[in-house]
Order: sequence, then structure tokens, then C-alpha cells
Amino acid sequence: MPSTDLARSGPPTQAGPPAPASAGAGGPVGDDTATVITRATRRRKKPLWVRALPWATTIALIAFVELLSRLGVFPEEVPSFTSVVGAALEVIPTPEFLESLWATLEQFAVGLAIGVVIGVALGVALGTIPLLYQLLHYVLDFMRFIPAVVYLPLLLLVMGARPGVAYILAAVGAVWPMLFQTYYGVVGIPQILKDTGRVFGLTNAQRLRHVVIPSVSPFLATGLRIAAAHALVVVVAVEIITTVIGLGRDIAVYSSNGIYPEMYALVGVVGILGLLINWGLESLERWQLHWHSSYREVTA
Amino acid sequence: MTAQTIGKRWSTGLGGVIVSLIVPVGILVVWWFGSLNTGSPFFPSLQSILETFAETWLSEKVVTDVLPSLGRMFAGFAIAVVVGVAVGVLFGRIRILAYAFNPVLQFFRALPATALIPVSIVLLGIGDTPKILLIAFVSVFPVLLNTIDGVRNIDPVVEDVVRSYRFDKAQRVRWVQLHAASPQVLAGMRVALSMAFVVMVVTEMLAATNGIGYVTLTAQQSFQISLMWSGLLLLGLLGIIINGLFVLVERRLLRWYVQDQED
Repeated sequence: MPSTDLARSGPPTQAGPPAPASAGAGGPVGDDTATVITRATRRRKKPLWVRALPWATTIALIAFVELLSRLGVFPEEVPSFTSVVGAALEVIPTPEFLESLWATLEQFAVGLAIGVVIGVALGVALGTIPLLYQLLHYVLDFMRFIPAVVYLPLLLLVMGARPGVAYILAAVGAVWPMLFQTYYGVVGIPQILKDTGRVFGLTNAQRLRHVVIPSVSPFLATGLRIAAAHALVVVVAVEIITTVIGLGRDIAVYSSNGIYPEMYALVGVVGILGLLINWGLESLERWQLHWHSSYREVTA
Repeated sequence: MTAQTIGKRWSTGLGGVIVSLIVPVGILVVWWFGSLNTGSPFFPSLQSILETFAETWLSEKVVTDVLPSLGRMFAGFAIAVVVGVAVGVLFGRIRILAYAFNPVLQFFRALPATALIPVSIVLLGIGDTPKILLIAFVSVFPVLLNTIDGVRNIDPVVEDVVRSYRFDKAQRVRWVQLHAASPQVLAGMRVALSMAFVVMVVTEMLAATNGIGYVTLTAQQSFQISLMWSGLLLLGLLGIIINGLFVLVERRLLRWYVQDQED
């Protein structure tokens, strides 16, 4: 397991026999490398230098970039890291920035909420009514692969460049992962659980509370994380392409006016926003699903 | 694994297919006849959309717009897969590397891809290269992180067997690590492909002189509404076709895995 091997493996070039894979972790599949790493590391106390390593590497990388730009290796369009941080410190307290940040968050949250509600409702309906699934699955399988930004010209035509466009497109981006995850969750409830519930004579409400929700919630959690990522990408895209207010628009404005430190500062802010959203949802998931032995394996 | 096979059908066989076709055919029929005599400027008739589609996208625009779009997307995607898998295997085997670079990888994965488009315009201009590089950069992270994860979670028994058979390093990578990681690598590739598609469309809407996204957005801005609709139709169809082809390839490559799962 990581702890001892990491400490022993020494310089990265000398790989030696690979450490046995963390078979016991059985963590989630897919893009969840982060959680696996952090959870595995948190469990054991590690030497300080190992715990400090990710930070040291990050700081070293930043220092390296700073050095290169100070030495004039980069073209002038790439400002030094310190000047980006300086620009960020200047921009962030301004009311214009806060207004844009708020607008982006609002578009993201409203779109995500609409998408999640519709997605979960449709997913539950499709999962419980086989006829409905049979009727709609061609249409849904067809539409789920159309990226949300494709609808942008149409919405611009009908609505003009307004925040409503961002709401709707973010909702479209969020609805598909939510819908299909919910559907897989509902369809995947083990028959034996349902039978057990029936044998114990649970009422519908009790079945919902004790059988359906616990079985479906890991799927919902995965769906929510994917949906949030989609919604943020779409919101930023709408802001950049149109003139809808938000951080994306500001990035585009700084970019076309050649104000590069501010542009990178906002890109950094958007990235941190993405990290925070992801981190928040993961914490929520851990807190809500603490009873779950390991997160279920879900292919998105 | 294969999502499509989970579906609970109300009825299967030919009757089921007919039931499934009711709604799609119904939508097309209603759209066709409902829009035949439309006076609405924003919603032209399906007939005229299809006529424009045939005139525009099945003629010289294939060479001037469709192929450049797809070429950029697949070039970027190919770079992302090669780099992502190579670095992923390296990071997956040498854990300390993955651990050390984890914050950086997490940041760039969480960064919404579209925020980087203005940056790429500033750095590299509006030609083909910046678009390809941006598509590659954006789609490398899902491939990379999934490869790391897949390589890392190989069954220790398999590792022991391979070691006792004295596979050399190249053989281990080719026959054991990549093979065992392939379900996750392909899952990452699928995410990467859809991101590549989105970035392709958005870069063309913002900074391009050709491409499907460019034609569609300029059509909207110049009120060539049928052209815009036909562009939307084409983008939608391409999204579906590309994904469908990928699912076919994935199934073919992962036949062994799906069979294992069913056993």
C-alpha cells in the first residue's frame, strides 16, 4: 500500500518492482483518482516530506514558470505568475468582478437546479414505467449526444443574449447525466431488496425511504458531479461567445483588449471555482453516503 | 458497463421496436407537416431545412468546413490519447509522480475547458494549430487520470504471475498494464471525445474562418435561418455518429471485459 512504498521507492526513475495495486480500496471508477489518493493517504500517518510533496511540487512548478517568464523565455502574452496574482488581488475586490462572479454562480446554480430536477424526475419515470422507456429511448439516446452548446445559435436567435440563455443551456448540459444516472440507479435496484421490502410489508413511503433512495443515491451523487461540471463548462462558454454577463465574458474582454495578467487571473478564478464545486460535491457525497462501504462502481 | 443493455423493455422483439419507433416517427411527422406552411421566420419548415442541408453540407462545404472541423477535432483527440496514455502509464507505475503532481492535475481537470479558449487565441492566434492544441490539452486530462487509475488498480495476483513469467518491462506495459487498464482508458477517452467535440464547436464559434460551428453561428447572425438550422442538425448528427462509432469500437475492444462481467 502507498504509505511504505512511497517512502521507500526513492527517486522516481528507479521504479523497481511495482507496488501491489491498492486492491483493498475498491474505490470509485473513472475520473475519481483524487479521492482515491487522498483517502488512501489520509488513513495513515506519513512522514512530513511525503505529505508536503504535492505542495512542494506545485510550488516548484510555479517558481519554475515564474523564473522562465522573468528570464524572458515566454512571449510577452504570458505574464509572470506574480503579476497574475497581483492582478487577481487588484481585480477581485472590485464590484465589477463580484457582479460577474455572482452572475456566473447564479447562472450555474439555476441551470444546474433546473437540469437536476428535470433529470431526476424523468429518470425516475423512465425507470419505473418500462413502457415510457420503450417509447422514448430512441429519442433520448439520440438527444443525449448533442452537446448543449450546439443549441446556442438557436437560443440566441429566439431570446437574444440574455442570462436566460445560460440558464437553459446549463440545464440542458446537466439534464443528461442526471437523467441517465437516475435511470440506471432506479433500474439497478436489486430484485432481492425489493422482494425483501415487500415481504416485510413496507408501505410505499417506507419503500421509498428505505429501499429506493439508498440504492439510487450513489448514482445520483455521480450524476450530480458530472452535471455540475457540464453546467459550468456551458455557462462559461455562453458568457464567452455572447455578451451575457459573467466571468467568461470578462475573460474574453480582457483577452481581446490585451490585458493579459487580468485574463489569467480570471481563468485561475474560474478554475478554483471548478475545484471548489467539485470538492464541495465530493464532501457532500462522503457525508451523505458515509454508510456506503465504498462508492458504487458507476460508469458515466 | 454497456449502459444500453441494462434497459428494461416493456416488450422486446419486433413489436418492441415498433413501439419504440412511435415517438421518433411521430415527432418527425408532426415537425414536417406542422411546419409546412409556417410563416415564422425563426422556425422554417423542415422541408426547407432539409433542402438547405442537402445544398450546403453535401456540396463543397464538405471540403471547406466539415472536413477541417473534424480534422481538427480528431487531431487534437489523437494527441490527447497518445500523451494521456503514455504519461498515465508512467504516473500510474511511479506512484510518487502521480502523487506529487496531483494538485496540478486536479486544477486543470476542474478548470472549465471553455475558459481556456480566449487564452489559446491570445497565445496562438486563430489558425488550426491553436484549436488542435487546445482540444488536445482539454481532452488529455480525462484520458490521463483514468489511465493512472486503471494502471494503478491492477490485480496484484496478475502482477505476481507476470513477474514469475519474467515478462520484460515493455511486455508488461503492452500485455498487462494497458490491457488491464483499457476499460478505464476507454471510459476516459469517451469523456475526452465529447469534450473535444464541445471545444471544437466553441472555438469555431469564437475564432475561426471556417468550420461547422463558424458557419452555423454566422448564419444565425446574418439571419440565414434555414442554414443555421441545417448546421444545428449537422452538429447534432455528428455528435451522435461520432459517439455511436466510439461505442462500437469500445465494444469490439472490450469484448473480453464484457464477457468477463457476464460470467
